[in-house]
Amino acid sequence: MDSEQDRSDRRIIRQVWQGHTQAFARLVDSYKGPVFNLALRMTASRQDAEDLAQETFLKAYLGLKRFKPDGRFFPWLFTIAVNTVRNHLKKNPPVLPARWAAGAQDLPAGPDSDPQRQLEDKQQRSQIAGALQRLSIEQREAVVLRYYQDLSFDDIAAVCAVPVSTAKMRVYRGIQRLSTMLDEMLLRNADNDPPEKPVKEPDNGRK
Amino acid sequence: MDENDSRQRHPPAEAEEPADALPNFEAQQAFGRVIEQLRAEPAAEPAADFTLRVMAGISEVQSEMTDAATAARQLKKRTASLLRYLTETPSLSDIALCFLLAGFFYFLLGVIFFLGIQNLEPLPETAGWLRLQPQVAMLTAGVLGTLGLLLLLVAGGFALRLARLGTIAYIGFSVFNGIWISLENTGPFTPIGLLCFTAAPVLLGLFLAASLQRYHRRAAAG
Repeated sequence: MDSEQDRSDRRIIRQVWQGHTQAFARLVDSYKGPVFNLALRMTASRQDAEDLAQETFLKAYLGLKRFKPDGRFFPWLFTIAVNTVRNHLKKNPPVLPARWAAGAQDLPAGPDSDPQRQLEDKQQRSQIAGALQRLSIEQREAVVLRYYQDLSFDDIAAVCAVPVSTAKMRVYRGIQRLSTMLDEMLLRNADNDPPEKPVKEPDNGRK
Repeated sequence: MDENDSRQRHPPAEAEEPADALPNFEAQQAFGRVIEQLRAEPAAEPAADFTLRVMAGISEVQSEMTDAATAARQLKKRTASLLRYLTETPSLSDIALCFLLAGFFYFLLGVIFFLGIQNLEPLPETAGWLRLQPQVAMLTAGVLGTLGLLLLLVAGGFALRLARLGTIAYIGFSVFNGIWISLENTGPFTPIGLLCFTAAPVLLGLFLAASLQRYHRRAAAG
């Protein structure tokens, strides 16, 4: 069912079709956040995400004449974004964990003001970002669309051009793998945590 | 950590399991924590001037597209006018001008050959016909120029017949000239030389012949 946003998008698109190019800026303003976040979670690089988001909007503008007048702009735009990011990742596969660390730096800061909590928060987000980068591109985009963009399985299926069952399976596999990886990381962290009582033995430079 | 281990490892492709058989996995406790963590992640914002940069990119692309469209329109217009010129019946003075221009072209070619041939001392003795190309070009210039002047000044059926004969002789001689040169000189560039010495003059001759033919048809039709 069409939402008010869909109707508003179509009104803007009609204006662009009539030659009011600047009206497209309203669409960019509305969707720059979701498109940028999708690219950022997929690439873990702020610079790449900005470039890819720009490329997405440029492609959308150039392809706007092919947009169906009764279609929904948001899934259409996301399909372009997903394909753009997918092509980029296939050409430039990220190397871990160097990319991870850089990606974690690019992620937005949490709301906590306590420096200790902020550090823990950052570590946790870095772990999630890293685990996310270890998923296959298809699983990663399904997880990102589902949990960062809050899309329904139907919308994910439409964006990724796959049946709903496949979209659901990708999300399931992705979340299953993420869960396993994060549990392993938690275990490793627990092993590396310093004991509560200080040990008097020298640590021989171990980290 | 081993460097290879640090690279992205893709899991095997997902098994074809019917998704309907999946339980409501999002409600499962094992996944609940991860899903909560993912959903709790704050959204990132692109740079403040993001929209401006996108719109600037669009303007740039649009301007390039406008330039390309203008160039395509101009090319189409010029092609259409050239085609019109090539297919419309020319006047006798137009044809005369074509002959004079062709003659002038051969005159320039002859001058270039005269100047250039001096640097071709290492040419083999057998390449006698190639050495004669400056004279050949000048002779052709003279013939075409005279035909042009005849068409312009004398006009009438005699000049037209002479021009037609001269054009046929020019085409025949061009083919003979190209073949003779290629027979005298063998080398890796011989086919290219043959093409240059034959194709261009033949095309020019056909153009002149077609112009004369169109004029003759119109004159015959009254």
